[in-house]
Amino acid sequence: MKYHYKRDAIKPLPIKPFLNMVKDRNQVIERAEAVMPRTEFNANILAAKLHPEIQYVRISDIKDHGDAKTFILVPDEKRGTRELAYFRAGQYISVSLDFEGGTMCKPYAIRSNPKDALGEKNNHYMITVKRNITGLASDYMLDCLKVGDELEISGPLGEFYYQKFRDEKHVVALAGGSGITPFYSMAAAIVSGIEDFDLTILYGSRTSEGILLKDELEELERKSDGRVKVVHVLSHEEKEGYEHGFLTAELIAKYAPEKYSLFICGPKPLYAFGDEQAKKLGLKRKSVRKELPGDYINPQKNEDYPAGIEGKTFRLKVHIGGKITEIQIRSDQTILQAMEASHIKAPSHCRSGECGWCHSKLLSGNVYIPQDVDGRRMADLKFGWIHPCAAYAAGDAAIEVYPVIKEQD
Amino acid sequence: MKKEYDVIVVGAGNGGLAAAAWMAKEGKRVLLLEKHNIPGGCAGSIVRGRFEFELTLHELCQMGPKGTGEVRKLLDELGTDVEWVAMDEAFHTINTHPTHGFDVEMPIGSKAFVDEMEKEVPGSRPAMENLMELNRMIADAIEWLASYQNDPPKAQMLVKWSDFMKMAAVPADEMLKKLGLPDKAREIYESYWDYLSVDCTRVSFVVYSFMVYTYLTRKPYIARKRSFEIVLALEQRIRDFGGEIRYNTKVKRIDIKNNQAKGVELTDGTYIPCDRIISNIMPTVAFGKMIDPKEVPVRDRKLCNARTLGPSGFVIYLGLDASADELGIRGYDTFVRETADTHILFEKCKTRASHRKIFNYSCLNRAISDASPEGTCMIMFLLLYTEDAFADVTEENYFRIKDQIVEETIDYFEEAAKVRIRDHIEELVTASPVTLARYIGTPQGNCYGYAVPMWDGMLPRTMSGEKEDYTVKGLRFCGGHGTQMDGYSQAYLSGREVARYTLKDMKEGR
Repeated sequence: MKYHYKRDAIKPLPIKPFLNMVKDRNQVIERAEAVMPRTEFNANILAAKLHPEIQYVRISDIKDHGDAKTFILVPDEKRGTRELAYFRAGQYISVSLDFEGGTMCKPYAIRSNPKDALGEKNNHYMITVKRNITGLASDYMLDCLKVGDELEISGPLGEFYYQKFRDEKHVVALAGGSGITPFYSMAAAIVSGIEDFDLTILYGSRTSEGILLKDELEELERKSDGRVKVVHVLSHEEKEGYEHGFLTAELIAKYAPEKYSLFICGPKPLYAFGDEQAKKLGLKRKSVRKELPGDYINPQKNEDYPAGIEGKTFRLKVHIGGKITEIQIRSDQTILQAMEASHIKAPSHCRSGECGWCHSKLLSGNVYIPQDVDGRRMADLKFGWIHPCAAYAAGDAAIEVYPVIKEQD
Repeated sequence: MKKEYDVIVVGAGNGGLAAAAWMAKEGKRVLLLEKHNIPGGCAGSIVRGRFEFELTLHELCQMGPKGTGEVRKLLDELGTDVEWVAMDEAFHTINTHPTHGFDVEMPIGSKAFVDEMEKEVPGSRPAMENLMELNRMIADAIEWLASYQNDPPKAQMLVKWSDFMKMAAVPADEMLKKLGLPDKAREIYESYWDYLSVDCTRVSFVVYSFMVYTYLTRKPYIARKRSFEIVLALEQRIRDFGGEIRYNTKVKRIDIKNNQAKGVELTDGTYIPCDRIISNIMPTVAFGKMIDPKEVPVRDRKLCNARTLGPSGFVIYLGLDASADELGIRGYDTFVRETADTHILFEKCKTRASHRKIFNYSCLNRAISDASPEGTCMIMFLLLYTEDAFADVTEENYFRIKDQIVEETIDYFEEAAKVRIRDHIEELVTASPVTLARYIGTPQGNCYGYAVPMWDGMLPRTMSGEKEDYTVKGLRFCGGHGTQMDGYSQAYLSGREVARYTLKDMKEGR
């Protein structure tokens, strides 16, 4: 033999067990029970409860806040949703909308206390939608939705929540306008003992009259045993008892303890502004968390924006469910927005290039993807995969998208 | 109905991708259906902030340079475009036992491995050299077997490989003792056990040793752009070969009539006829949930019940804002445990309560130095649960329990590896058995298919795969739950094996 190992330990071993392997295996199988195998375990049940792909809800109540409304969403048993998924305070749901302006999904932070989503009775979510100058969807929601309307929403999504191993024990929040909603949920969770950290919210509004959820926040602050503090900052009004100006480094320094994490949620300019303040304060990257910015605007202002495409319209071929639809796309529309305007039901959730739900194959053509919302994996780049929610056409193009096949019984 | 496809592959995990690619390469009309929006199953990556975390791949086995290892040959034959990274270390193992502990970094190369072992365990050289020579024979035997696609000429086998056959039926732990390895050398050698989802007292010696030896001689491999690079490379090849892939498309029912596959029904009611189906979904789930109970053969019910589910995992991904050098993290792949007794460890993995003193971690930056931006690094911890450790978890306590596991893991890691990472956590993601149940839909969220006790190990499974376990005409299974056992490499091999059987089925009308 060409091998030089010692055989003394091997020689006495019987060869029969090997020759009988199949027979012995068959015998073990033969002895087993013939009942149907068990497939459902707690982990599976919990996965279905915590991460439903679709939740069917009804609007049970609407609260009017002037230029914003709070929608109370309850499970719609008739359509198969018996209870709502529990979530981390700060997470969002994406709401499917189908109206004249398009077929789309829009993300909204769950404003309510996670506790209110627990149990089988009376569980609900609250979302608060503020009118947005450019937002067709917010207009539609504020003007058309009424009590009793049915909606389809996603399971809870997103990473904008307190993480005790990463974040400091004290969080300073920079909130602008409806950006208060995830912090409202966090404050409620702190009051309920679900979350264990201290929260100082620096809440920017234009005037004292226009502060969204002012009374509700005050109530949470009162009940929080000093763990939640809200500081109102007015940009367009000077008034006693309120800070005046913007959410600046000086203001943060005034209210923050020695060690803290900075959480930011608000209109788009707040993120860049917040980053500047964090830099001034010498905060490390790990100490600054930002909510998803949502639909990208003004890509043409970026340095790497392709020359010669501004203001143009291109043809986009969309391969979807075995069909090819050709649509027009303006250079200032994301590929997702163009599909939505043509009522193509393409999947999406975060609208910020992050969650990956709209992952699609670029079959031909060039796209422009702003670096700050490029959440693709390295392999996506190599093999031509894009996130249409954060991609612009830079010429005629073709993509393949994958509609979600729904349950039907 | 007119049949548009020669074969439908259900599930685009590693096994399903390999099977679909192989069938398409052979000119068959393939439809690959995946319920998620992306392919990969357990394989993939996630982007968080400035980090791209590898989801599950530790290292591929049976690779090596072009034209060498079986998995390398398979992926090359399919034409997958992947930038491979070969590792020059085998593993780092830390045993924190107060009196019998060790902390060693083992190199690749059988000679270097024996040399390092001699340094750690003086006097181990003769037994280790003998073991490596045996391993060489075992590796040749397995490659010889594979060359006959699991159906070797029996007489030749008896003549050539009787020693292999004899040792195949002996558990690794027992055989290593018979071979006279000093205890500590055996313990270090057994470090890889948790890759196989069964402890060394119950896994075949030849299977275990083949894995170790293949890593040592062919090197462990990973893909530069994470395992998602392999996934998308295979996906691309399926397209190139003319296959069709549909995502967000869930199969509700595999239609079986009179013990013959007829087609699949999607959740929206669409019916796609096809008389050849390759299921990347575990038999337990396919037979338990997707096939008319009247059509589930008694043997399959019994087989599912005779088996124990493989372990599920709890994975922690950390993005740290300091480099591996700054933090003092050594080694790419490290096994940490409180004892070297693999059976005791396996038992400890049953519940959450006793879990904290065993896990594996890998620091990707030790394999690919620029895997994350300068001044940062990534660590992935893997904890196994061999039973239904999440049976008592509720929606309400779920997040707290996850935090508790993270806390215990970081505590023990800092103590065992003598590093401090707590103040450097910039990103933290966890994946629990619940997460796995969500993404791969397996019972208990298990990610190792079925446990591999001696009676249902790689060899008896492989010898039963083509005929004994083929119970429904036109329906075959591939993946980490297949004949080749769990793991990426094994799933690819399983996909090819089942594709080959299916091609043979088609040809012979069986």
